[in-house]
Amino acid sequence: MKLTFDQNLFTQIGLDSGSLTMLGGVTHRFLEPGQYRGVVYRNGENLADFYVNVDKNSPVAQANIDLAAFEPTQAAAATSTTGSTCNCQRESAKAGTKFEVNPKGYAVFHVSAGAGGYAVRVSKAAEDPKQQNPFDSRELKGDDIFSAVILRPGTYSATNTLGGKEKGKIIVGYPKIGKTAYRPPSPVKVACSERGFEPGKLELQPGQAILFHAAVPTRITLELTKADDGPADRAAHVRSGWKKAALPDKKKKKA
Amino acid sequence: MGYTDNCDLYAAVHEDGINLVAQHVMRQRPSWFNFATQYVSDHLDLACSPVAHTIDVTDYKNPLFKVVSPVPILGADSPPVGLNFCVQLVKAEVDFYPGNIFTLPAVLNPPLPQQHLAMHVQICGGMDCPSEFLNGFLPTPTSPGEATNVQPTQEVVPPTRRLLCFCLDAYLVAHVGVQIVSGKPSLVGIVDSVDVVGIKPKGLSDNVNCYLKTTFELLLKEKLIFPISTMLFDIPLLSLATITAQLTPNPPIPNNPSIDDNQLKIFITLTVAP
Amino acid sequence: MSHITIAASAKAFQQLFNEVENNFSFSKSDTANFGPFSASYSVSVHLSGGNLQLNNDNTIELQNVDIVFGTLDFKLCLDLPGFCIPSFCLVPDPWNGCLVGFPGFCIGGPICADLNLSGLTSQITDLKASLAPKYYIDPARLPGWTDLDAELNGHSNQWQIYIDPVLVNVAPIDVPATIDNILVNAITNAIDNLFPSWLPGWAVDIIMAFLGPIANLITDLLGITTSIAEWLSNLLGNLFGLLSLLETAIADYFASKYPLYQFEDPFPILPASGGLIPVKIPIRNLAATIDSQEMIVQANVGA
Repeated sequence: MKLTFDQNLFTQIGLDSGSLTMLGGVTHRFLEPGQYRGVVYRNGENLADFYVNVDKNSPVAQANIDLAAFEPTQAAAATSTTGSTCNCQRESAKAGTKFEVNPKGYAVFHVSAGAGGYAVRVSKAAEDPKQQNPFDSRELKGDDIFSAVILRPGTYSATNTLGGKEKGKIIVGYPKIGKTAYRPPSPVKVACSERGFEPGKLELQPGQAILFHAAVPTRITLELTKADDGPADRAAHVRSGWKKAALPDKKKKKA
Repeated sequence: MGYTDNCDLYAAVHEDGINLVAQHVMRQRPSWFNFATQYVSDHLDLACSPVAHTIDVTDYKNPLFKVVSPVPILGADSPPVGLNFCVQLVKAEVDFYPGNIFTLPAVLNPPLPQQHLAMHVQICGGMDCPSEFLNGFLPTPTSPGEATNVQPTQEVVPPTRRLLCFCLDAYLVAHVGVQIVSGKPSLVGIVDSVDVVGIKPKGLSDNVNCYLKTTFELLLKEKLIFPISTMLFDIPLLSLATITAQLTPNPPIPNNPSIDDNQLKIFITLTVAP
Repeated sequence: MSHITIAASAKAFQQLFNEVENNFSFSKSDTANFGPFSASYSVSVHLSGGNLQLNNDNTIELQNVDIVFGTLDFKLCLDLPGFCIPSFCLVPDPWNGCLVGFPGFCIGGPICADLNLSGLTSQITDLKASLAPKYYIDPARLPGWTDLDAELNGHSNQWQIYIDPVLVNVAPIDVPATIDNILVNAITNAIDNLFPSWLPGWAVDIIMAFLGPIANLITDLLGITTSIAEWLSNLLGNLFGLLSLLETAIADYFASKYPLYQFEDPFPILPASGGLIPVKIPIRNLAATIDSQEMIVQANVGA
């Protein structure tokens, strides 16, 4: 058997809305119709540009923009470093790719594979900077939403690096094998205001999403402060090597 | 009533079967039943009776006759003279109790007693009568005083053109016992009495009867002895390490082996190791 | 009246039968693909115990004979192309939909578990047979040979008495309920062995939680609607056809492979001695019957 999944899912601990990875995404609404130009950054470096046509007549309510698809070696990256053959088949987005969305719809910036570290800046194609109405994932505001998923059990500290007085606390529980296959509960909403996070403390299950609504300029970082490696007596899943599973000695039926 | 009501293994041989077995033995081991001098053995047409035998006997170069020395002419030593002869057992038949195949001579006190068998054998024999040899016979001269030092003169056996044959009917009464031979319980015949019909005077008859009784006793003990397992065709049970077989004792079996109902019967009890 | 009569009591017959039973062996291996999974087995079987009954209708009946799988190596491979842990919502949209799903992870190729099922048993629930004497002529015997030639060359004719079954019924393989845990552990171990060494324990636990109880996973994947024990018994016994194979092998063995009783014909009553050939007696008209008390073998001496 061959297990195939993206290693980054389990090795990247902590999230940053300004440096998106597979476990985090940003949702933004372009309220004004017009042509927009976007730039994808990876670790601060300009990676590619793209265009978004915000059109009242567009039937598209949601434009999914996979930032990992702008990688020049996207196709290779999708399989070479991760070996992924998951159901996240992506189409390679060439520089200059055009997207379309209705002004009442949403643009979703996410990362489908790889190490991430992406940010995106989108602004209207206008000469007047006041009319450019820029959006930058490194500074969320308005109706922007940062969606985060934490897999690694433990206690996290949530911080709005652009403001907010209080830090939030998130506790992600340790997974348990129940009577049925585990599926994460519904997402939890958190408001980001000047006061900090509401609610300020969350108890989540692994894989349960948090939706940070940015009411004020926001850049969320989630940092592991205390890892939870499970109960001390948890069964160790270690390679057992080859071992023949045998029936216990059966007692003779007859004397 | 079952055969094994009082035992675990039972085997019986009917006298008709035994008589066929006797014929097979005589045909396949003719040298046990035919005796002759070398000359007669080399000239089969001289025998008193043709020697019945299977093709295997000659194919495997088995002898038809047991070669024996000529009958010496008593007193003749210049040279010693011996006569060719042969003795053949040409017929043998067995009658298990109750007797119904042949009638025993009165001297054997018929009828055949319980648990006994009778045997009728026909023995034919003949000896050379070398009258022509004597006509031209010249004794070998001997020197006085040298008797102790001279080499014995080779025996002269006159060439034979025919034997003067005769046949005798002999009857014997016997029973069957069990002896351990080579570690195996075996059936052995024990001769009780013998009578050769038609021999007189009584002294001669007694001698012949004694000779034959001794002969049969020895033959039965030396050669015609059969492991009990043979009667059971070597049934595999008898060779199992977990099984001990023994003749069923009395009681419940009063005679074991038993001769009755024209059969020879044996009864065996098995003990199975846990 | 027959020249020769041999009888064996029920007790003696039981001992004869034990020899036949103890010498039975059956080996078989097979591999088959059943769609969502494939399986293979290698088995060797022997018989043990049972109740033997002699009947007055000239038959014997055998019941409750253990069929012991002295060796039963079983290998189960779950063939899982495209089986994926379903994705879950990674980036939910504000209206409780899902914008970005957890990409999930997939399991491809076979996962195999080796199970040593040695010691499992089944039973001959019923075997009814009569006795069948047969005259065996060694095919290697040359036409020109005498019986003595044949004996000396090791190709004698034989009288053989076989147990000739008219029916054989074998019960389903008795798989204990503990097989559930054994199979679950074997599959769990197989999965554990797949995790890359870099994968932290908590991640393994998350994946295992996603997989859910392995027992459920197994039953779902294998389409098991009964217990695992029943499923395995059915797989081996019916889908692989082991029960039919065993019934045929047992019937064939008793009927023609291992005689209850056999002896050479002609039967040697005096061994070769002093250069003299053995004395052999031809046996004719061999018959074997049985009643509730004993087996009776009768024959005549040939002329």
